Amino acid sequence: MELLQNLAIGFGVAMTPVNLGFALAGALVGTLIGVLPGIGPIATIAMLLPLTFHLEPVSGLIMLAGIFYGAQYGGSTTAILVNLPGETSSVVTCIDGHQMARQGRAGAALAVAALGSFFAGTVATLIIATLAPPLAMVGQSFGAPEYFSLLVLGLIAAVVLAHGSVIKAIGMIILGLLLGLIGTDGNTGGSRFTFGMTRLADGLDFVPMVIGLFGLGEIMVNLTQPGHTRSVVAKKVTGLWLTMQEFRQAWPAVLRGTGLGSVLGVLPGGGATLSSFAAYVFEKKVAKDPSRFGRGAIEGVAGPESANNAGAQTSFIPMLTLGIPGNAVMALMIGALTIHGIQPGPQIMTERPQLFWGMVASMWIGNLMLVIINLPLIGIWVQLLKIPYRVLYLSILLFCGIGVYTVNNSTFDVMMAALFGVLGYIFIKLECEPAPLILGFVLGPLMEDNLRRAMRISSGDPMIFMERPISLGLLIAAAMLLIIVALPAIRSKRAEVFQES
Amino acid sequence: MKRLILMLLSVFCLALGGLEAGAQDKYPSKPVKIIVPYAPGGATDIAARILAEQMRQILGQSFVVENKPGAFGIIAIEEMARSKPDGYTLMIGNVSTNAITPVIVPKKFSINYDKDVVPVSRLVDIPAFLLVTTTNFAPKTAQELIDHTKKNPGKVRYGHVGVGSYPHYDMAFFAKRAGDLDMIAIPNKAGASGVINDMVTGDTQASFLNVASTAAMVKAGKLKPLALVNYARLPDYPDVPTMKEIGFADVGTLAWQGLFAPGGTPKEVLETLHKAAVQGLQAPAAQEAFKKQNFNIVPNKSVDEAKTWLAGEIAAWKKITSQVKIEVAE
Amino acid sequence: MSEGEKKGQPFIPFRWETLARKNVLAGLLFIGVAVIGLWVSRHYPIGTALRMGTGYVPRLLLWILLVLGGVVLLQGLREARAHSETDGERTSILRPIVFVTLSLVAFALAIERLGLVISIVLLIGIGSLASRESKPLETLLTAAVLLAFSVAIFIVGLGLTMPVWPEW
Repeated sequence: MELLQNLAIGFGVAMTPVNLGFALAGALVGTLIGVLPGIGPIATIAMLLPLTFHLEPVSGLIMLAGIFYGAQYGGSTTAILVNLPGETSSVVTCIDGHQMARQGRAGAALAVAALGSFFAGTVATLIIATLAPPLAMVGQSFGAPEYFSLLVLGLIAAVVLAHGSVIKAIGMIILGLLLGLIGTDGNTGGSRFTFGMTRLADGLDFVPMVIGLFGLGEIMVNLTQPGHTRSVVAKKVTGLWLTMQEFRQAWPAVLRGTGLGSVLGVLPGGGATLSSFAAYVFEKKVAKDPSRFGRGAIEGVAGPESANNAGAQTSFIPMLTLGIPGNAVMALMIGALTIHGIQPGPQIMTERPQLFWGMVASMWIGNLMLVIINLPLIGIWVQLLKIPYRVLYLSILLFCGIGVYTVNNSTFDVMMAALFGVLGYIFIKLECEPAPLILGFVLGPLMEDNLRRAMRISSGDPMIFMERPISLGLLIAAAMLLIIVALPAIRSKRAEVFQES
Repeated sequence: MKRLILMLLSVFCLALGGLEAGAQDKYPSKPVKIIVPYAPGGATDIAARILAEQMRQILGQSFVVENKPGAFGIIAIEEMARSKPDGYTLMIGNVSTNAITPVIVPKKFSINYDKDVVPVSRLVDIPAFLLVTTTNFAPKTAQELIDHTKKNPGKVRYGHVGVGSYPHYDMAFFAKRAGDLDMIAIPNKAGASGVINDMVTGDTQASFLNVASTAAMVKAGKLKPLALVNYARLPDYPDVPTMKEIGFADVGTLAWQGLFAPGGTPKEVLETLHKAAVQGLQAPAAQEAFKKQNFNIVPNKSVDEAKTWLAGEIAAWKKITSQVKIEVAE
Repeated sequence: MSEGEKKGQPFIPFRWETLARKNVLAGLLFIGVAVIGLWVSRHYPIGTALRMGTGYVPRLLLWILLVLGGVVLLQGLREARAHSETDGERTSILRPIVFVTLSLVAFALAIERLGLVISIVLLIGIGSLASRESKPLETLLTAAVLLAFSVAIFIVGLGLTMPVWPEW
């Protein structure tokens, strides 16, 4: 069979000692930068880029890819342990993952994140090997109207993210959308809500915002608790591994997350971002008892973590097959290839099978290495939680400061993080959840951009959203979701009033 | 692996090097910082990193690239212009940040650009294509594109990377020169890759984009180059005529990158830097890296020539922006 | 904007504690942001649905936020009883917020001029004031460990570009 033959070529390339070494180096560096808040794979890959000039293209790519998904693994660790999402994808992991840690189940949360990611990575690798070209075509059929409809669906789904008041959640989404609009309007060049500050011309940065809202806000809240000196964990830390019951709850979530993530990852420009949010929403909807979500539901970790890793993996498809980078990391990889005179594109599979299949095989090997690296680390991470909080919070504070600064080498960003920390505190106290706000912030600019682009393409005819089949399908799905979300909200409105008081 | 360790070591030495900055030796006696006005990974960033490595070898001091993205390059330019003019803080900018930004948004600067920024040398420039999509679009030559647009006013859409970006001006200028063509501009914030994607889906039909980022799609037949913005035809694309050949000699931007220093930097330091930069560009490793991406290596002959060149660029952009009215809100 | 207040008031006699309710405050927060936003964006061109101006989408969103804020406020005012959310731990509320914020601001101001080492000392020093339970010796030790760790990881290991010592 051709697939086996191709995979044989791939593993032949990836299993050479040199390339195994590069995969390991990448995975280790990636895990490190993933655990450190703020410092993302982009800065690290850029710094290592000149280094790859001297390497074989495959080796360079294998190492850079290792950093990329290593960072994805590492990012969920801090999200679970100290409520610090390093990247968009781990924002939702905070919601239930950190709650699990507080209940002494950090070990189980970390284990399910690692195992779910590995499973998702394995499936996604197989998908790339078998379905890359047809999936790339799906990506290509996504124009501005399709994107807009997808984002509408995503935003409506965001309401489900909240576990409190639906109206407040919508308010937070709108607030997020508004924050996303700060900066220069890409369509007219006019500036919005910049208050005359040059620093705001490109809008707010994502990292200071999440670190402030989640990490710093959490620190402030914890410090106001009287008994905060001891540790974050309220109860005794139980087991480092999944119980049978947790395993049974988690595996279907892993399956669903993998499926969702694999599909969304293929979409260029932000599809992968959606995947972990989408998986969380999906899990909450199919759960028998949705009220467990936000209070340490293991599916709320298993689903999004699998989706995010699957998405990260399949986001290589548009890059490798079309030469279109789905995100900044992919753009850097294309940079690394062009320096070697290689143009990723539709012909890369036939022209450079060694490179393409070597890369695919190394993805799986990299994931295997990450699971091997991360599972023993769980013990160490959980020990970290035993550090007295009065010491731990200082360390978190410092890593936040350094991490935020290094993203753009900007002191302004550090100040913004501090400001968002105060806001985060206020939001927590007022029971306004930050997760929908973040989703609004991420999706808002994309949505406006695609709406305006679609309207210009259709010369102002809104029917364009109905005429395109994919767009229409997504809008119908959005409408159905809206009904599903709204019905219980209306029905239980009276009950909710009593419940809250 | 050895190289990784070497690099880490050199960075460590750099950190220590900051300690002995007091010594007043011949320039450079301590590490030099090169600010890049873009996030890591873009063409300018990569070019800066290639050159920084060469200059380190030539001058024996580290040249550290620091990314300060944002505000059309203003953040990076102002940070450089405000630092001590001693040659230890430089920047590598491009046509957008260092020629178009000062022309179209002069009010956003809190420095005097003409006085506080001096060019050391132009470094490279990047050939671009005038392209059309092959998705549901018939024209195969520039003349066919012009005729098609004249027959279908307001129906042809072109992509660009942002209001007031050079691909935007280039197409607007092309439309004007071809007889006031009625085309619709569709920006895409995602940069060149977004514009390419819009063309492949058929949402837009035409654009100016650099050769390096479109090569794969051209090869795959998804995009069709109609003309080339460059001094001469490229060996890789012998059939694509230059803009001059099709009668639009002054249309299209050869996006350049240049090395800049704060105004008031001593003449000897500028000379040292100029020589090192030119020598660095000629080094085999740099030559190879730039050639593979089809970059032209185009240093100025002297610091004085660099000044004349930058003044010329600014004047040229003043002319283009006065002829092609693109509304850029202040 | 004052719709919510007008409707809410007749039902319940006004008391200051009502203001401390979570939903009342959240509603006021949304309304406040919306009002400020609408004022800031008052000159942004709106355009038409075909050629949307700079202000089209933001102003639309701000009006929605205003309405939602009103609804949340109304809900809060109608709640049967106020939450006593701060149960006696009032004393330490400001302390963490002020010092956590200050520590980061100090870090931001220091990092480019005074270098990493002094910035870390500042951040830990000011940050430790945020907790009343910090112990001086322990904080000193933490600072020392974090200093060594940061230089090793960020400067030596990852090779990030930031000054370690003051630039003179």
